[in-house]
Amino acid sequence: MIWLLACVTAELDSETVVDSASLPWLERPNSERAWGAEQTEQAVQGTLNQGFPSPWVGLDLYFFALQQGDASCPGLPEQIAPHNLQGCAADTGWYYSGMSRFSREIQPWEQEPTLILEAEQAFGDFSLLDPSGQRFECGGHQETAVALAEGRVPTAFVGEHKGTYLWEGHDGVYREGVSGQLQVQIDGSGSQRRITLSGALEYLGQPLHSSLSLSEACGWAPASGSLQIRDPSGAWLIWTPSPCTGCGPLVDENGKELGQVCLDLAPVAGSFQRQLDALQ
Amino acid sequence: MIWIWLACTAPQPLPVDSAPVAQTPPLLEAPRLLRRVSLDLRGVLPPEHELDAVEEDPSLVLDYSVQYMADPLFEERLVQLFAERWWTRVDTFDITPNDYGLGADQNFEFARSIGEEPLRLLAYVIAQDMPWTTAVSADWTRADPLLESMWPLERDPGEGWQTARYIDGRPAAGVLATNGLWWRYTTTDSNMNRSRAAAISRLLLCADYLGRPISFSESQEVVEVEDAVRNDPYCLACHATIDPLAANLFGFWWLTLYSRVEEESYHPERESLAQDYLGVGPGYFGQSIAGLEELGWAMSGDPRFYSCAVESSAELLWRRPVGLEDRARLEPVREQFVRQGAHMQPMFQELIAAPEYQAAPSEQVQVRLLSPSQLDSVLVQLTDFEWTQASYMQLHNDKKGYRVLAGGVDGYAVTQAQTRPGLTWALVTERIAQTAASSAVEGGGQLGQALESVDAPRDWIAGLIWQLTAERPSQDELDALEQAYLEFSEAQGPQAAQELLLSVLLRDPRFLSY
Repeated sequence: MIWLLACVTAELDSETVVDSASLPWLERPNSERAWGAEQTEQAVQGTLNQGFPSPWVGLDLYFFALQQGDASCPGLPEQIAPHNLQGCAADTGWYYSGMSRFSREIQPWEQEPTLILEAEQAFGDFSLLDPSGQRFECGGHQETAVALAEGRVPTAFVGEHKGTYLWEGHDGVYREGVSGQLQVQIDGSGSQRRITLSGALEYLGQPLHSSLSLSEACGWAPASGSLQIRDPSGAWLIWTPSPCTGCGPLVDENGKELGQVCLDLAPVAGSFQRQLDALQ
Repeated sequence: MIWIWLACTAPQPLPVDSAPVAQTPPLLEAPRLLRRVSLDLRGVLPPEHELDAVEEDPSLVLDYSVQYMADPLFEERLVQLFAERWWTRVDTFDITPNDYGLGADQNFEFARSIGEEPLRLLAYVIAQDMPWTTAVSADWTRADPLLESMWPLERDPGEGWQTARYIDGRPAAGVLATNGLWWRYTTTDSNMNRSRAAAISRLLLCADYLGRPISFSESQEVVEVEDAVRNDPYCLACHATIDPLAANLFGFWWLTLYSRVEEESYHPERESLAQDYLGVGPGYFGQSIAGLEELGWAMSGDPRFYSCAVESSAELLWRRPVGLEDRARLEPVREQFVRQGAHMQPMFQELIAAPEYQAAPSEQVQVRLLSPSQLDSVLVQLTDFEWTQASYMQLHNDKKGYRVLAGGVDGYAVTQAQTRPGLTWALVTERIAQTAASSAVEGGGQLGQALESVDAPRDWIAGLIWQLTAERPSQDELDALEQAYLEFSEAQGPQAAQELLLSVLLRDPRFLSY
């Protein structure tokens, strides 16, 4: 039987095997990374120093935008009315088009069922213009929640940014748009507060993917996790800081070490100051 | 043992070069063949002097075919051809003209521009005689002013379709990095780009995942789908390769559907979400790659990429599926295609030179019907008649038009061109023949201009049949048509007789087929 198999295989090979070396292969792209360790550190720190997107800020902006209309446009206090899907112009000079939905939910928290989670979600697919022509655009949702213990004591905050959010009139990071899917969890108390950032985000033109957990006890340096950074060539670089140091090796996607990178993540924590204060 | 020996020593398949080719069917006469080549490569009829020339010297047909590929109409025709296979020229997308503040009068232009973006890129690669690998590696696309106004594009100056570049950080991946392709091939939360990966495999590798046999009968009970596609051997038969391929496409992963701001831009940060969603990183059939930026490179090292280019081109030009019986013909074409650096034009020439292309209709060889786009362009050429209604080109859409009814492909419900005349086809061709004839007698197109000098009806009719069908009419046919013309002319006047005759000939099967 083995003979037969060998015979059949030989037949097939003679007709089907193609010498791939003879193919007009393209040159492999991306052999040169745009950034080394030093450039990565400078670029990412420069971005972080300008703050960090926060679902709570995103939700505030949503309400700010909806409050700029008049009685009939956008039509509802917390949502763009469905009949304004095709667009409406408010007396105030704001233009609304698209749809949105806002909801509140109260339920036990999956992570800790003894706590009550009060959540607010704004879903939207809309495009707004302010009187000066600045765009406010949304495709996705901003979701925030607070986990309350007995006596309505906040014990944790969770939030999610999902989709694309842009407000050209913002004086913070939303002015150039924020895109991605990022979950934020803020918990702990006293000097043991933590911020966990999970997911992908691009803001101020910098694509990132985080699994970092920042610890107040470490001066907001990461206690665990890593940060992936996309350089301008399209390469993903991975920074894995040593616990509580803010420093660690940067490696490329092949595992080649590019050097040590130190990042100060305190500005990230600063973007969640309101929630941190509530956990005192 | 003896049977094993016999099996191994039995006549082996002949080397490809000398393998027997299926019995050669009767071939078209040279003028009719030239007409076929012109319709396939330019979408218009050849001029009479070229018909005369090949009637005299049939060897000129292939010379003309080379010239036709240098004609600007060639690129336009490729767009129509690829639309049949790539299915991107659909009537509706998730995003509507209203999302861009466009009026309803731009509905057709909106859908057409988006759907043609990938097709224009492919057509440009071929028309400019670039290597086919450019189709999956170019750092540019093709865009018209409407696309430039809607999407993050920088377009070269000029009218109509021009080269353009996305400025949203997307990698250079040719057609694989076009909005038009992924607006047509969308995905969902649970699908996670897999249908897009399957589209890549079907379109560029001719490997159709949906054609694979699937058996769940011996599979373990599926409790958790995402767990099963990573661990169940029955699921892994496809998912082991399709999931890493899908992972290359997460820059086009929209976190909410039907959202303009989500869908119009590439999202570089989401490349990293592939691992989160699919549990695998980017790959290409067992090879780990960096992502979309390397996908074109990986494909260029895959023999299937080249054989698929040949097979799919053969199907488009031969107007039929190709199978194992065609292998002896296609394998040398593929070898030559690879050896010459994957340029499509010489490969097209070889396919046109093949008897499979030149076969005359017979019991074994299906007649070729003019596609709606061919019919449209031929009637514009002949009569200046452009069938539009409320800005919709009626043979290029189904929202208000008759593309499918006329035998075409809409890209969703109908994905193969009609190969036999049908009732709706007959109705559409009758109406368009009547209206085009009316346009001609008002002076439109080549036929209208020729009417100015009709003083010898018999000669005019003979020339007309030659021009429209590339066949010389018999004396009996000429007698009958001349008599009908004269009788009708006497009763209704010469213009009405001309319109009648044109209307009849424009729905003659010899005209509507090729």
